[in-house]
Amino acid sequence: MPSVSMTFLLSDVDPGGRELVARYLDGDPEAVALVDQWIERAAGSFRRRLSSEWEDVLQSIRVEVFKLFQKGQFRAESHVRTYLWRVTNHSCLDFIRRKERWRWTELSEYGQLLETSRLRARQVASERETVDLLLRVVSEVGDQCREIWRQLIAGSSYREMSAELGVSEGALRVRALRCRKQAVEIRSRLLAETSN
Amino acid sequence: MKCSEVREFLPWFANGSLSSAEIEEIKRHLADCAECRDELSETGAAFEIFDQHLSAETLIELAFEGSTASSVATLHLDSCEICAGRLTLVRESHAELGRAESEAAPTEPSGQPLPRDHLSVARVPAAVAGASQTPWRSLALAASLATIVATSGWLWSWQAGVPSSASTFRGAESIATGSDADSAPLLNVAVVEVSPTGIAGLQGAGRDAIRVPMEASAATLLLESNLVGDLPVTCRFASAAGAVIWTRDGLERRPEGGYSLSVPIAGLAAGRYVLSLLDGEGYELESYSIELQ
Repeated sequence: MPSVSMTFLLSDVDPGGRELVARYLDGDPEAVALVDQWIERAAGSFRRRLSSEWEDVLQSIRVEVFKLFQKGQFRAESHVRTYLWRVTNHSCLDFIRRKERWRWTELSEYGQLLETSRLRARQVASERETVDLLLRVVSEVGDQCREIWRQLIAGSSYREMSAELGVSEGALRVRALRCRKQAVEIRSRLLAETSN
Repeated sequence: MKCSEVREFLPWFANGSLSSAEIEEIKRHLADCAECRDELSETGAAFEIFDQHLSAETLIELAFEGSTASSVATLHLDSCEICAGRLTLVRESHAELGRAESEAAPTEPSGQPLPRDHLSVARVPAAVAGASQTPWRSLALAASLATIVATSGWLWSWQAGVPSSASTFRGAESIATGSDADSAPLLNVAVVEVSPTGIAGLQGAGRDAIRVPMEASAATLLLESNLVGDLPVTCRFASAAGAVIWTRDGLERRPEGGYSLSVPIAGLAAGRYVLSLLDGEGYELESYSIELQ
């Protein structure tokens, strides 16, 4: 349902922040240095995870921040420092997600088929609702199914998994198939409940 | 390979861990079997289902606002090292923000006068909410707050004919009872949206004493709403996570327009909240974002 969202906290929660943003957009060296310092501090905890891409990620965050400021997206509902921290964290998490996201190996036309079906599985309303729904599916399938598919997504072979989980290769393949069917059924049920 | 065998191998066909010979055999089968290709599609969907993780927004809310994770998110965090690790990173970053804020504290603009033609701050010190614990502390805090309000011009702008605005302020329901002009008012941190006509507040309203109710304090809000019509609305106050804290039916538009009400904040944790105006059928008409600090 649409809602008119009016934030009556507009402006001057951080009056200095507006001034800082204006100076930053004007290219004031002190303002640029301060914003840059904050971005780097905010991203500091991700540095090890980002490793060789650290500088690239920082640069992309700087560009993102500049665009957000230019578009007037900072409305001083919070301190500009907190705002930058959130933007930086968001960007770092997005980068990590993209970097660690599952990728199909080269399977020619079947890779495309898999990717298409994967994208279809993400359908439904908003991104966040989809994630919540799919998390619910995973929560309902049980520990064993989660562990089997966690290892599948990690790229383990059925031989490795058989040894790791202590089940025969045949039994493992049957269980993986049942888990897959169960997950798809649960998803369909939850989708139907959401629609109703 | 028979269909039943192929279907069992599909997850490993998809994750690329089969031998070259196995891959080629399955590809040959898929080329001629539409049903197994459908099974492959379902396998792709399963990869999406099981590869879900908490969104960046959720992780940031958990770390920055101390929100309580939903039951699904909690279960996921308990079983997902990836999300638990990412949440740790965000929390470490948030801790660094705290250090940066501490370093900047001497130069924080708290108490600086804000331009009068800007909206006022709705940050209500959580200390005020807890001030009712000790009477003398309550009064000290109340006096400090009143001083800030009075001397900084932080919250108020004036119009000629203060009494009408003051009556509006008095007319705002307080958390205890509506106070009349002759009694000392309850301490309310009034957050107002400055309109062209301006809103009068505590300063200059002729009140010399601030009374702090022992049991609570509240934020009195004057909502400059875009809603039209005179039908009463329901007001709902909820946490950012959606947990409803209280509701109030029958909120009527002020003669001057907009709505006024007192929001009880005593005992609430610092953080973000949402104030929503709903129609008689629960349809959300407008919402406002509140941050307690």
